Amino acid sequence: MKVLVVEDDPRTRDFVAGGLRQAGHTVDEAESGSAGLDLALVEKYDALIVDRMLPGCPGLDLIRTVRAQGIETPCLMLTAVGAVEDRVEGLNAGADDYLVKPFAFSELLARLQALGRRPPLAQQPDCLRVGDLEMDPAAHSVSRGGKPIDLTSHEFRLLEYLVRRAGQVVTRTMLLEALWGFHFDPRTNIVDAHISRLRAKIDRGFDVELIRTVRGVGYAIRAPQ
Amino acid sequence: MPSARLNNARLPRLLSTASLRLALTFSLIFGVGAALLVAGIDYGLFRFAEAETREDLTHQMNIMEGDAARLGGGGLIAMLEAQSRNHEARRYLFLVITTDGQTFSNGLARNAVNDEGFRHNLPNKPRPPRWPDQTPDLLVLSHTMPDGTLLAIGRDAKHLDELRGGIRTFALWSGLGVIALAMLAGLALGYQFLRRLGGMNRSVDRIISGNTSERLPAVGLGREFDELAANLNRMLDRQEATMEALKSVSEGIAHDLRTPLGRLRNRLEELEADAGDPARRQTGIDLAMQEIGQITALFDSLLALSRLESGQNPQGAPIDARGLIERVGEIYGPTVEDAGGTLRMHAPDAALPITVRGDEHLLMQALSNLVENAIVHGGDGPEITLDARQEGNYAVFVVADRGPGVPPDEREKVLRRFYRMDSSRSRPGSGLGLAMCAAVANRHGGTLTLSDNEPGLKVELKIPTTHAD
Repeated sequence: MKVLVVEDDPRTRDFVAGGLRQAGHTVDEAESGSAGLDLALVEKYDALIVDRMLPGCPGLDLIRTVRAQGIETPCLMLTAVGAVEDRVEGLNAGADDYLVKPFAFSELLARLQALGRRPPLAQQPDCLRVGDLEMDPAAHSVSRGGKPIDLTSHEFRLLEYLVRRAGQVVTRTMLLEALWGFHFDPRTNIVDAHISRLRAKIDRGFDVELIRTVRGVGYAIRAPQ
Repeated sequence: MPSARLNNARLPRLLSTASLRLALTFSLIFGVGAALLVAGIDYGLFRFAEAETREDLTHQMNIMEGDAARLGGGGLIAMLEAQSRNHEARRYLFLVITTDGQTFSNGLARNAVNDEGFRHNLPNKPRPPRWPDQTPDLLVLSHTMPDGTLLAIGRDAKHLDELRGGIRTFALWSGLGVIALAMLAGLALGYQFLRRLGGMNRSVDRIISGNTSERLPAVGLGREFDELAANLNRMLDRQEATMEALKSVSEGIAHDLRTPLGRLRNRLEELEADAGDPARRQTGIDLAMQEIGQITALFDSLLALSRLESGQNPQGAPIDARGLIERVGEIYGPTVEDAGGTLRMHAPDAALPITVRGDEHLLMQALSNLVENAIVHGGDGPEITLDARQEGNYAVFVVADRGPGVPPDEREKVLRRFYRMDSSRSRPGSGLGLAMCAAVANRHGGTLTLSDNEPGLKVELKIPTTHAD
């Protein structure tokens, strides 16, 4: 992926850009909003990572300008303020996702991958498949190896979220936000508790575990190679 | 010493105060008012006295005309001469001149008399001479008879002038008196006012210089001033409470940040020692990350709380209380089970929906906090019940456990930021959860109440329903 990182703090910029290069991405860096805007308008990127508070041109203005030019490059916004109102403002300005500082790099990477591979809604297949797991969101049915599995609507949504991002790491924060609308850190391990119940239904009694734990990051559903 | 300085400064200050200007203005208005009043009385009295004199003279003239017609000019003169020794007649001055030149006068000169009608002879001197010694201030009525005899009768108008003079003197002195009184009253009032304001100002000085618990004295000059002092005191109360809250928050942050920072430091030190062992290194890093997560969560909570407390009432969409309870139950059910406990829901009947208006995220977070509290503090194998019911114009969300509960005297305190009961210090938490719930309740125009679940803790979050407005 070719990514543009617009961030004025040099240490954060080096951290993000360096990490992305290590993960195999091509990275352009800009240290001010105006420089970032020039690059975003001229070059073609797969994703933008934009800090919200920038000298020259605030992140929100940058994204509005980019979107006004008809450029639909996925954009992840970084910020130190993470209240719901701020998120809403950022998303309304045209950002696709929002990450609050301080963040774990793995979280950034997971979200960036989710953005980059987000398929257009129209192209989503009716039936989702991971290995021998089949899932039909319209019919609300799941089966593994031809054996139907009974899931609560809650478990179904969790599984669907994972399956639609099969092969990608999904962080706990992403699950909390997407499934339960939590924009705060719960003190208890609610995600893990739900995953363990889903696992009991999906993986128990099968030789191959589909739902994997990615240490310190989150979970991923993956078909065996 | 500030008070000595103030005493010395009081006199010149008095002269430059608004109260002196007020006193002067009042005196002026009083003086002008008194002058106008006296002038009115003076004019009225004078008019009345003159009218009376004219009437008297007209009456006397009628008598004299009758005498002159009956006795003839000469006869009249003879009669007047006879009467002039009579004391009563000396009140009047007469002049009679017949056509054949006979004249009677007891002091009235021809040049002071018209041929016909009234004439008012004003004295040339500043004060009228004492009658009858000299030509006085006279009001004279004269009439020429058909036979040519001139009749004139005059009366001293001295009493009129004396009356006017008296009134003017009275007016002058009383006016001066009124002005002096008004001045004195104004200055006295000003002095009183300054003295009391001085007390207030000294109090304010002391409050500014750090004695934040001091309050302003009552002014004592009237209800309005006392109300002002009381209002200012209420403002000071609020400010002091805010300052106290700020202080405790700062102390709370300092304390609560030190603890995870200290642990983080320990982890990093351990990590340094364990550098050779990859497995232990990974564990150390994970633990350090957890500490950082806690610090971040603390700041997020603080930020959210201060936003909540400074924000406006949410104008959110209608929210189904039942749906909210069910979602919280679904989310936390597995966690409670994992902790060996049970979570029971008494969601309201779907046929009788309870709808509240507000911020769904905030209500969700508040309920989540309450359930997490019950998981963490509700004892081993927590038995948690989750309920929503309608009570008047309020939806009441109830989260109850069967744990150790909160003693009555602690129930108010646990709602404060960073307050943690001694018994719960060892458990995870920032001490902000309940403060946050209370702030959510407040912001929705509701309340958060803690009570005894016999045993355990029962927390009720009351939020107005959509029908409440």
